[in-house]
Amino acid sequence: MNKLLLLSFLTLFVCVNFSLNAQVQNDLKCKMTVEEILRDQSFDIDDAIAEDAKYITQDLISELDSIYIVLNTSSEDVIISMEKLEAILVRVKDINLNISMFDSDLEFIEGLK
Amino acid sequence: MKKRILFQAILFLLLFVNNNVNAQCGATAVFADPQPAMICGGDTLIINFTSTGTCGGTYEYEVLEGAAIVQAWSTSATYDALPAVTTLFTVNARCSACPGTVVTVDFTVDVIEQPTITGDLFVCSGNTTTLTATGTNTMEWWDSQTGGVQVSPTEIFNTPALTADATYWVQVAGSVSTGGGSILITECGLDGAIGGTGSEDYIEISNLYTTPINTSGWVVAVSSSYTNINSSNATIWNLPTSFSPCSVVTRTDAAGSSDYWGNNIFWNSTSSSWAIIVDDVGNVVDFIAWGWTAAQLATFNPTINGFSITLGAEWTGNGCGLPCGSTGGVQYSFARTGSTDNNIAGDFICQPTSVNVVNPGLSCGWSASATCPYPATILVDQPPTASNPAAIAVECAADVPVADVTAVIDEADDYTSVPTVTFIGEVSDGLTCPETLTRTYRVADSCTNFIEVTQTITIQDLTAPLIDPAPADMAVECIAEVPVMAALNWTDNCDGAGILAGTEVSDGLTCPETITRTWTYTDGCGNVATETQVIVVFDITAPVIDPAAADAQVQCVGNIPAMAPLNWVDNCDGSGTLAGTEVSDGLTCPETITRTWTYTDGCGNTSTEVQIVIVNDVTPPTASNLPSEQHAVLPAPDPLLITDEADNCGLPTVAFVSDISDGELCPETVTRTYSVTDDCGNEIFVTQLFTVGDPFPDASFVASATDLTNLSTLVNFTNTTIGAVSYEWDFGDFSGISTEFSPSHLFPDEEAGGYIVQLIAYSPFGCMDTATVVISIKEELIYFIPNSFTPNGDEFNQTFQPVFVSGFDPFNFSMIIYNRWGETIFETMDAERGWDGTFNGKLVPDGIYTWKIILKRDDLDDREMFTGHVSIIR
Repeated sequence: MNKLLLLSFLTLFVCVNFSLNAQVQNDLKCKMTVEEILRDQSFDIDDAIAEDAKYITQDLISELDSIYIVLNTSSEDVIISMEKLEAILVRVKDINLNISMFDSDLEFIEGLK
Repeated sequence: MKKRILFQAILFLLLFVNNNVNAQCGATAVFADPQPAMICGGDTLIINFTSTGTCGGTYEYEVLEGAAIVQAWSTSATYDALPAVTTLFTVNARCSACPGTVVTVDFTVDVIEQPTITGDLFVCSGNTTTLTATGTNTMEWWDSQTGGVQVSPTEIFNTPALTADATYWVQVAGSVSTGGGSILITECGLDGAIGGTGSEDYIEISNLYTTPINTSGWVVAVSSSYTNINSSNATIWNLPTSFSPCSVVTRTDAAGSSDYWGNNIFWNSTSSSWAIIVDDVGNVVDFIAWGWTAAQLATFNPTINGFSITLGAEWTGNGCGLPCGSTGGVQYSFARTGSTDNNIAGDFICQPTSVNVVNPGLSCGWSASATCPYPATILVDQPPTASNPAAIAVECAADVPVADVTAVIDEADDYTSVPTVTFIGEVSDGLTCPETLTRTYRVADSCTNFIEVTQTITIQDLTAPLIDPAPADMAVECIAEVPVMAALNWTDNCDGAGILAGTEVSDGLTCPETITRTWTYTDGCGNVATETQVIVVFDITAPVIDPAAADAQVQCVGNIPAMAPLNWVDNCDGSGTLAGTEVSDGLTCPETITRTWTYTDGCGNTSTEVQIVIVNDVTPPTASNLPSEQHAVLPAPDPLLITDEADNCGLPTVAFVSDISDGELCPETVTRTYSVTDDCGNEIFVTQLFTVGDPFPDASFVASATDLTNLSTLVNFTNTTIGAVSYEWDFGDFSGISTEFSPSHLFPDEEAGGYIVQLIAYSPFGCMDTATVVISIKEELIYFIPNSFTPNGDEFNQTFQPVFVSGFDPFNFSMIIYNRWGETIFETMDAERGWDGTFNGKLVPDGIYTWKIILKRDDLDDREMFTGHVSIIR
């Protein structure tokens, strides 16, 4: 019972904290790990293409994260970051990578244009 | 109790002291290497001995087999073991400094004994046989000593049908426990190798020691890239602190497995990957790679557990081949095979998964294993052998021998001692000269193997036929002398005999004409016999002509005698009459006429008769000289004036030659010469004398006076010339020519001078003579000197001016005026200047004044002075 109570408080703390942050900070909306994303692909996670997919996914997450960081600080470098993102999306298309888990993020960023 | 303790103390002390003494000298242990040792039957193995302990001298060794000494004490630290069967040896070791201390160890040399092979090792070609190996070890049959294909997994091998000698190998396996071990990667499973999804992989590590191993700090790492060989998964697997003996540990990315390691194994069956065990100090314990080449593995240098890793000797060559994944529902993995870690791809095979159990072929504690190949050679009965019988050559078909199997002389077989020889047949090639017959013999063995050999019989007549000798060659002069041609007899080794007519052929030439008579016989094989007779027809005898008339000399063409024909006769041509030819040399005086009579017979033999007639006129012509003549002018030559020229052979030619003058004039004598020449150049000369002109006249005349003055210049000339008929006078004063006989002439009187008067007198034929006389004319001195003058200023007599008209030199003149006192009051050297009556610019008083004139006369060399008085009157 005590553990349950403690867990409830902890959950409440995290949610409140997260909400506070969400109010003032834009953040990556896709919370899946790279491995989870790779497992969501049409190919096996051990296929050779998975190596490229891993790097592209890492770059995509990193770039989206960078855009959010820039948005939270200034908007001056957003255009540059957008160009990098576009380049990554070309690589995504080249290997037909499933990035539907990033739809919310990409729609949000699309709205910035 | 105290005694017991004391005893134990003393005993301990003794042992301690004793041990100290032993530690100072003597071997404490001896080792034999390799152990265990395994060899194939018949091989030799060198056993090396090493000793531990303290030895001030040299270690010595003694080897025994049971109680028997097989190698006596020596310093040799090796023993060449050559046991026929597995044998237990004992090696004793001691130090030469203290030989009383001996240590001992046993060592075994395991021998994989050669099996006994039974079966038919000699078969007919195409047959099979069964080979059985008998022995104590596991045996297999292979088709090669190393590698190759296993042909039987048991000791019994049924061969396939054999057509050639074959060697198969009994692979006899043996093993011996080593008591050692290893920590090894024993399996790497890919693509769901343990039965999960296609992405589930695993890695299996085995401890093959028979004791626990402390693997604290040891890690297992796997690759994380298919393209970058140095990309290592950051997550490493720590092996246990105590790795249980003969146990297996596994990690997999199959979720739910008790060995789940997360998704840390990024492998698939078609891509390159690797796995590695690294110990606690960074040494590579074991390694496996697949898909990577040796060159790529040479660049292997990831950082694992903080250590920079390279492979060193832990891997050689390419990685294992690809792919190795699930096939037909059976899960495969790279699995270690054999008990030896050679650090090459061959240590692993792709075989069905056996995760978490020690792989087949591996055993804890390892074992030394070996396989000995022993050959078994099956000799296959090969077809017999035989050489083709020696070829036969005959000249005639009648000489061909009958077929004979004994012609095959070296038939042999590896299975049948005496092969059978039979005659099969004979075939002709259908040709002739040579015709080749091929006889076939069959050589067969008892296995019905046979070969066929052939014997070649060549029929070719190489011997030429023979013909009786032809008549001897001969030479004749005329065709009529050639004898008749006869037939000759011939014989041939294959064709028999006969009579042969010859052929006669002329070379078509003449002189000589060569007639070749040939008798030729050609036999059935083209061998030719020829006899020839050569007859040369050549006339070398010249014809004969009657002699020609004797040579002659005549002066005129009209004297040449007529030319007559001559008779001839020849040995082959017969006889006849021959006209000659006459040829002049084209010259004259003499002209040589050659008369030739030539007859040439059919072979060019020539006879010639010659007569020479020389025509040469040596008699000169004749003519008379012409009479002399006189002419004023020499007339032109005229050969026609000579009319009596004559010659013995015809009319001669007259020609003017020359006029030769005597060089004189008035008169001149000219000798004119004509030549008279006949056709041979015989020449005479006739002459005519001419007198041209007459003698010179003698001109002379007399003048009436030759020294004249200008007061009288008429002269009369008297002509006294002799022998002239006409005259010309030139008076020298450009007054013209006078032709009078004795003229008178008035010379000019204007001035003094001289004139040359010349008379030219002409004879009747124009010869002339001249005569001259000089006429001189002098001027007289003529002057007027006044005695008074009136310088009063009017226009008359204003000056005293003497007038000299002629006869003086005006450039050599002076006039001086004196007064009464003798003073010079005027002086001039100009005859044209007069005195104006002044002195020093003033008129002198009237009065009388004296004058003096000095001048040079033209006709005298001295100066002449004149004086007088002049009066001034105003």
